[in-house]
Amino acid sequence: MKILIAEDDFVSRKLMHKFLMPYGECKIAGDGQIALDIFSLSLEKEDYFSLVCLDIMMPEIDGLDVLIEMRNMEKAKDIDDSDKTKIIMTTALSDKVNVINAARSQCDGYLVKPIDKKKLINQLITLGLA
Amino acid sequence: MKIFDRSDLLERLGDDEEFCKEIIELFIDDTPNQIKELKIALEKKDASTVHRRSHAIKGSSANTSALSMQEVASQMETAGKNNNLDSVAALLFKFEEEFEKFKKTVNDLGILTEDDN
Repeated sequence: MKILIAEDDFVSRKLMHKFLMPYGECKIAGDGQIALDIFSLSLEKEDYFSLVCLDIMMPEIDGLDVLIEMRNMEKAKDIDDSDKTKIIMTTALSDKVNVINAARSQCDGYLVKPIDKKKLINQLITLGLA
Repeated sequence: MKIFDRSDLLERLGDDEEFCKEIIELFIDDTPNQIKELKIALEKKDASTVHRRSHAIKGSSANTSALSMQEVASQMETAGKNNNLDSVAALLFKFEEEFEKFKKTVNDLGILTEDDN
């Protein structure tokens, strides 16, 4: 499967990449705009991502806005529900509850930092990706 | 405040000693760049970037189980959010001290070899 990791913190990127590598081909974005560009290109090519891991707080465009924009792009392309990308938001405990609530309706799961291998793999299992 | 929680890091990384070492090395290599970027944002009095940079530094410290650094970065994040840049500058000084302590701690634990420093 194809995986997109969007994280601005370099240690998170490295951890996510290492843990997700066994499950598929990983692309990495260091900010929200790059993540959107990569995602948009994949929709154009109809080569969909199975999983996006999205940091809720990122430079350029915030993770929450990236999430909404990704869902809008899918809607505009009339993507079947079964082809829609599973999106996991990564958050710090200190992230605002209203931001997390806003994301809840549009994402498929959460991962609270610091990143934990077992919790990440459990999310993949829950989402039927592992 | 504990400087480094080795067992927490090991557990989160699936008991992979070699990968723990790799993460610590990456953190030690890249943190000076993060500090430099934060200083540039402080000089520009760019509170929004200061807030986001501090948040990212908090994340990398937490992911490396560098607890005292995480705590100071968390205080920097709050100060940055409140546009209190003088506090961030003072805390950054403390953060750099905690970074030195972290490097000494992992060194004393024998996690890194001489060549890594």
